[in-house]
Amino acid sequence: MAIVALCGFIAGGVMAIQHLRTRKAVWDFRSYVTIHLSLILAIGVLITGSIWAKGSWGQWWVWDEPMLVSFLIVFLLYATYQPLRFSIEDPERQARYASVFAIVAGTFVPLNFAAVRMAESYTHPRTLGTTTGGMPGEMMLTFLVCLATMALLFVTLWKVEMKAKRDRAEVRRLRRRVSGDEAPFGGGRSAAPQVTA
Amino acid sequence: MPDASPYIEAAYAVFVVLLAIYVGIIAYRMRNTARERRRLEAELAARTTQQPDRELERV
Repeated sequence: MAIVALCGFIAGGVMAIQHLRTRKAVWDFRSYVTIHLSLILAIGVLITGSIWAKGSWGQWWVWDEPMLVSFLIVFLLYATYQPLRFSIEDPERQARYASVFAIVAGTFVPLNFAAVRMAESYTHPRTLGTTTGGMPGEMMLTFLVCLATMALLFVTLWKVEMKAKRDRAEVRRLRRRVSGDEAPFGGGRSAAPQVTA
Repeated sequence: MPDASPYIEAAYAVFVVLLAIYVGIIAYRMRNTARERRRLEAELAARTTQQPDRELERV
């Protein structure tokens, strides 16, 4: 779940690059939904990870374990993404600033991942590393199946969330038409991108 | 080494509950959105059919 969440943050950054490159609002929309979903997964990681840690190590949280603390830092970094969007009223400026944030934060994620692997404390097993022995074959297969399942779940939820947000944008547009307001954007401040299609 | 299995089971249960809550919220919002969309579309359609009638009356 943690790996999929981190990959989601990186994917959000890549989509933000596409947004700045092409200036198409749909890329900001995709980036927003990807980061939104990754944040939800990250909350799941922190909650279920703590329960797992209690079972495995006898402690809910270990502050000197870089893998745990670095994930918390990444989570807290992305927790500022929604308030950042909400603080900017102009939709175009909001999309541009959010894309810059997504790219910078997305670059931080793999750097963070590499830094953890270079750190010395090894309470948490390095799932993809071989320096501490790695996983036995059967366990690796189970892990890969779980990883693929989680990735598929992420893609499915991403599609559902995209459809839900598109439908809501369409309803906002219809509401404006009914009230006689023909402006393409409006309806108050929102953290969500205002897509028209 | 403590027996981790109850905690692992609890972690899975929490994951399933979180997923169910998330899917439930999305489903609830999508249902409301679809309902409102139908209502608004019907309202707009009613307006467009009423408008030519009024123009005919004026003639």
